[in-house]
Amino acid sequence: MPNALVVDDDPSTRLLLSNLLERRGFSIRTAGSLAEARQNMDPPPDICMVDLQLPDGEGTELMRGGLADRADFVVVTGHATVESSVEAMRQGAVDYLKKPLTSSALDRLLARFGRSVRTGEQAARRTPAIVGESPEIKRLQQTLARIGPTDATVLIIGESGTGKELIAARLHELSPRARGRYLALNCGAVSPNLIESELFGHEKGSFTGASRQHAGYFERAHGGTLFLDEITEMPLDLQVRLLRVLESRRVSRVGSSETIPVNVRVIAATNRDPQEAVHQRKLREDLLYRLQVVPIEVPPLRKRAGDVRVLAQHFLSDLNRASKDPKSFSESMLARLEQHYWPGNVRELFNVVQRAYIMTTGRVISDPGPLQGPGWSPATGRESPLTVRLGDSLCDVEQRLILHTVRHCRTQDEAARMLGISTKTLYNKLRLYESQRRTADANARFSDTRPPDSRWT
Amino acid sequence: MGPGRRVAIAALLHRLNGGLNNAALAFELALSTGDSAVDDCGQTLERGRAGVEQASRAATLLALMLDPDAAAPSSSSRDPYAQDVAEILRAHARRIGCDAASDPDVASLNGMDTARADTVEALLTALLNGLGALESRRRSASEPQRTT
Repeated sequence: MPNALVVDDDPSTRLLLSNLLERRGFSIRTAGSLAEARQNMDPPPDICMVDLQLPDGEGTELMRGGLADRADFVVVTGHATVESSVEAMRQGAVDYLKKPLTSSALDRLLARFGRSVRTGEQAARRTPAIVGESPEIKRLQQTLARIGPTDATVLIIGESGTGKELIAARLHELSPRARGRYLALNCGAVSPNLIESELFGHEKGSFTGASRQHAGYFERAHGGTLFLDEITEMPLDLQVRLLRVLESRRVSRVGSSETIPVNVRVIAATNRDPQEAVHQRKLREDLLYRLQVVPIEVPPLRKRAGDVRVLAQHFLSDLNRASKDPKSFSESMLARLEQHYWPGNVRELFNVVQRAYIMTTGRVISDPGPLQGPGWSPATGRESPLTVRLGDSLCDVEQRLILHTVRHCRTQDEAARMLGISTKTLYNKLRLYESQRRTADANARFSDTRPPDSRWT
Repeated sequence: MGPGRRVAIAALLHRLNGGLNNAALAFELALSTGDSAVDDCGQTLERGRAGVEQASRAATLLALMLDPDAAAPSSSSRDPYAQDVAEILRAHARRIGCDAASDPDVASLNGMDTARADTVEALLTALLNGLGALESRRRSASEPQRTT
């Protein structure tokens, strides 16, 4: 949930502005003076609406000391002048609004700066619920409830479309950092040349095109949560820097030797097998152990018994609510959805439901349309091949092959058949791997001998 | 125009604009509130009404200041005006760095004159005197100290 700080000396104005922002999905903090506002800047809000004239100075003073880098400042005033607007923009304000402020002016502003503009019912709703009734999803919900309120670094592992970002956002909401920022960066979507400056920021002139100082994701997420998606796509040299930031809790901008303390909870995610990624030199082993203080495995949809039906009905209800043209599924449609393998997981299911909803002219949806790969089944489907390098031990290769196969089969019987071994043998091997993993985790934790007060707080 | 009068006009215009701005925002919010939030709508409308009343009182004081023949409100409606005057004096004292709590002269300016004034005209006089005294204090504080 985005957070706004409203700074105005008039209590009525504070209340009304807060009300306006609350209806757009913001959580609100308020201050009546510069001094009070400074006390409320940690964690920095997403947006700060500040009155120009305050009892102890001008609202623009709040932007000094690097605070304008950490929050979007909007100056709101009843005494707009060209001089004061130029001064506000020079200090780093993103906009300058004249009172009386209107809903439409605020919506235009929020839309321009990429803030979510939500009203009414949506405003009351936070991150979409994690829907499902399968034992796998119930276990996941229990895990989230347990680790959400902690400050532990989390590694979310799951196939594409399983809802890793939803889980990261939920962890943030459940944490004491919920009033702080939640920022997400897809490491695979940013050019390797830019990702360093995106993450850690840069100083003016530190490279060609760096025309102004820039606060990176770590600085901007100070007091909140940073979600790093597709962590294995981050270049290895940056993984070293990330590890150093995680250990020291300090960050230095590109082009600067000065380090800045940051207080950020990091949640990372990958759709690869982390151990496999380590073997393929996609992920540093030391970073993996630092990230997976708490690993969360998100089950693929095909392993969530009964959830296809529940999720499909849930998506349909959302569509019905939005369009006022209620439709329902035929039983045969639901049966077809349940039979599908869902390689694209929940995202694919949502797309299928949405497409079927649009294409159906009547009240009953009975045709899901084309599903990915006609006749696709676990038996014929082929995922990315395992990479085996010269020098890998036979034991290691066997373990990776077995785990890979199990992940892509609906049941252990199916995996055993595909591997050409008995279910009992498969079961015993999986038990052995699990016990080895627990021992390795315990050793990794034991070797971490830093005093408790040096951990992330 | 005396310094107290100049500051008073600016302060009253500020309250007039502030009240109207709040009223405009409150009525916009109230009109966009759905039926499910009747209580919320009522509170917002009340804030809008309070904004209009604040603006109206500021306009009345401005009119009295600029035109002594203007009709003054009756003494029975004195209390909200007294609160406005006290707020303006407190805010100005804070803005120029006078600590009303620890400075007996400023405290008397803020409190006694306002308390003694039993009509709206008397409150306006207290406001002008108070702001004039605060401005004198500000000027004397900003002048360089002479040594003898």
